Amino acid sequence: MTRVNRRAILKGFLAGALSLRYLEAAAEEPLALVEGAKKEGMLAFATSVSAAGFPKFMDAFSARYPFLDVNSGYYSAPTGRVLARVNAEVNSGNLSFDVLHVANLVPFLTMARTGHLLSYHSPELAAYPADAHGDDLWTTARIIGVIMAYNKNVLSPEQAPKAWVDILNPQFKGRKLIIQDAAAGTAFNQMYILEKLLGTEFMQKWGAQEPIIVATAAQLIDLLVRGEALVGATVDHFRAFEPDAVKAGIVAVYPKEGMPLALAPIAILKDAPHPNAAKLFVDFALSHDGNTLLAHDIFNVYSSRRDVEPPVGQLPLDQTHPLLPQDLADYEKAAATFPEHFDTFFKS
Amino acid sequence: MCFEKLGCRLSAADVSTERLVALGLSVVLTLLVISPLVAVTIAAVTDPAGLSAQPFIAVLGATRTIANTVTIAVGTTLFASIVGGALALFLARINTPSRALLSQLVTLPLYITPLLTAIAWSWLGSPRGGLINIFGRQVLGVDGLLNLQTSGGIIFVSALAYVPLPFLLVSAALRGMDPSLEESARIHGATTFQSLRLITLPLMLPAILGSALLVFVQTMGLFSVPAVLGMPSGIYVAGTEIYRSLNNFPPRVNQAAAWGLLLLGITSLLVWMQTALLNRRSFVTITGKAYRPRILEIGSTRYALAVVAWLYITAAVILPLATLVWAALVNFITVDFKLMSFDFRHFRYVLLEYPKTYLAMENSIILGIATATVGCALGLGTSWIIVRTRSRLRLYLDQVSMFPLAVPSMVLALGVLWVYVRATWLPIYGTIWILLVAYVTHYIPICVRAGSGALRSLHVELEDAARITGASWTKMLRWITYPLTRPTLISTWTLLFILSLQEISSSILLYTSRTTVLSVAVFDLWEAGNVNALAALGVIQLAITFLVLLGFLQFRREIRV
Repeated sequence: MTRVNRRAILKGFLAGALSLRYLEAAAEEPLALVEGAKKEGMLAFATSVSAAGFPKFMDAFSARYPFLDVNSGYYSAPTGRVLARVNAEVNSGNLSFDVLHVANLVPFLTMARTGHLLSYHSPELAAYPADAHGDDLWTTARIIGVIMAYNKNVLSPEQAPKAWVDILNPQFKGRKLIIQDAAAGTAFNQMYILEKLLGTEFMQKWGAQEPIIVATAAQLIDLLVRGEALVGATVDHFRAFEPDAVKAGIVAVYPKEGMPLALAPIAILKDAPHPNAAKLFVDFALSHDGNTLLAHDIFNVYSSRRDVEPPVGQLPLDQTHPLLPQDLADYEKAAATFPEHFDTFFKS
Repeated sequence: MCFEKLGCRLSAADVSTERLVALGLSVVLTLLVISPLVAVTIAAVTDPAGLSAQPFIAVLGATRTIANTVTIAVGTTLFASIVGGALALFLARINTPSRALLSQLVTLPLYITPLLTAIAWSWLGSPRGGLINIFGRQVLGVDGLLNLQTSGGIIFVSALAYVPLPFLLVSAALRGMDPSLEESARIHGATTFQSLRLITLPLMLPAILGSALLVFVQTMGLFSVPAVLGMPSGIYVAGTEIYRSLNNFPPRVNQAAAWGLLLLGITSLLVWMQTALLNRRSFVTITGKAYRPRILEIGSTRYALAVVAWLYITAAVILPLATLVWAALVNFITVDFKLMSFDFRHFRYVLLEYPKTYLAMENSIILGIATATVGCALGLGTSWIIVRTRSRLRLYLDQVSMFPLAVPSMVLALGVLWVYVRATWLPIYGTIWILLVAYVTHYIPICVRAGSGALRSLHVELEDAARITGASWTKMLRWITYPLTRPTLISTWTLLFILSLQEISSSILLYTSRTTVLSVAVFDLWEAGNVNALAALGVIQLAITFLVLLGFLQFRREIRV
């Protein structure tokens, strides 16, 4: 396990300061794509995003390409349910979805390996560092970090944990911590990275703390606001900075060992029924305007695009000690049995 | 030409029409029920590599989850049967004050989604942030007044939701009972209590067992209450495991299928045991004749009985609804009362900003009408074949139409997904019609049972009279059967409409943005942790439900059925 090279990230952000060459490429109207998309008439998007503001993104895309119906094929649910449906379609050879976007790199690695993704070199890729995309098959559209948070009306700052290992403190035993179920890509990345970093014994002791397990990341913040537990230990960083959460007393903690990152790629499925519309959609999601709207304005998360502003009111990525998996083959293999592995620690 | 062995009731043309209808219905029910079950069975015995016992090994290895499921189902069944049965007795046979009003109110929980009841009770009774506990801490200085995040809590809240089932079934049996049996007991010196215990209770056994089985089956696959109250405290049941199998990454669809089959197996065994038990004795003293059972007059204890009924209504209806309205009006729910303020922002959000509200309402209403109409037609047709004909297919139809009751709807929806994503000859996948298929499949047992009940209460002589006077089979259905079964059909239609409005488990797997429904919009808000907006939308969903119910009552009054 390595921390992402701080200098490389800084260099990436600086290098992305609006290259003129990129702007020219983006300004060029992809006429063939537009004409093709007009004939297709719709776009089917499968995603795990659940943010209340996400419809703004779909509306902005619709405003740009009003001839596309973006609603009829849109499906949003936790990652597992999205993939249950996408897999059912892929296995039956009756694909309705065009574009997939979930906060977990693994399904993209697997689908790229098994030939289920369409290769597309978006002109927007010029604004992304090379490690933000995989062989024109997928590109990271958002980066989400996992941190801790507590409610200052329930726990004093002195008692709050400062590092991941602090959650093993006896004061947090017995439904005092809240974690996410094995549903989210963010949870998988966090657990995978922390197990590599702190060892299996740490995970076993964490499980012995008997944390409250919730189905989704958003429910975790709700329970924390309601004072159901002392510390949220699987918190998507941006949720701790949402205005209502801050108003209710939620305080973010960047653990000193580092912040595990989850990449949320976007990709076109191999036999997408509307490939031109899909390419326009991916171009838009990766464009300066589209990605600013998606990563910055709606989610307030980090973007791998060089010219998108960092999230408001939060630490810049390089100051969070970001943690990423190093061995992608091992990472993909671990994901295959993650729910069972999770249960061995947290569901006795 | 007449068939003598059928008592000259059917002409050759009628027999062929009947055969055709029986065959057509068998094909439809096979497609609706058997094909998804076959898909689920195949998934349960395979893994990506081929045939495998792994899904079943994993499921049967989850002994704690199985034990939790059975404990909670048994507890809920006992609780709901005792409370429902007792309320039926209090309100159908005893001079309890305001029993007409109370009888109506006791059935109201049928129309409130268990998810909403569970969420409301979690706001009241969660161990730290529950309102009752905050009140206890801040006002009374007592900590830990109530903790509903326990098996007992799940049983309590689930039972609140299911009490109307035994109440309705036992009430109907009590009202249809021949009072002379009780009177003979009294003449022979038995006290009121003795006649209840020795005569009434044994005669109620089929209704009690039938409703208990219904509650048990529903609770075995229940997801919403254990998800809200059990998952936070590490109590998992089959329903939440199926949800986790599908939600978690990577999805474990084969395990979800194995859970579904396990529940189907257990339920089938119980149905068989129930049938065997009831067949050993005769209960024919309960007939279709219109009796008017005597109301037992008791002293001041009757007020205590009314208090029991009001307590139930408070716990199952008034408190959850008041909590929902409160949550819809408060800015956010938090531990510190001082941080909470009241306005209409959440109603404004769901009515003006939440993009799913109006489309979901429209889809829910379309689906409600379509499910209720198709369900009633299918139910009446199928039950007519089962009750009125000697078709060899009637046993098949009878059995098949009951299967969906025993399979959790999330697993059934998985089967529906697998079948129709492949059925390119019937392109309903991704449209609103796949939801209709899933809903109709899910509610077939109710449709067929309601139809059978109505037909059994309608004497065959009336239909025979139509035949003798020369009416064809279709004319007889149109002019005799339909008008006389209309009261039941209207009730069933309303029930199906309201149940469709509440359906969550299959909808969350099959909808798209264009075909989203009200229950999915509510569920999305739950998964998104947006609990106040959920409360606001929940209140709107319940308002629609109660308006439909009031409309139905008014309609029934106008047509005097």
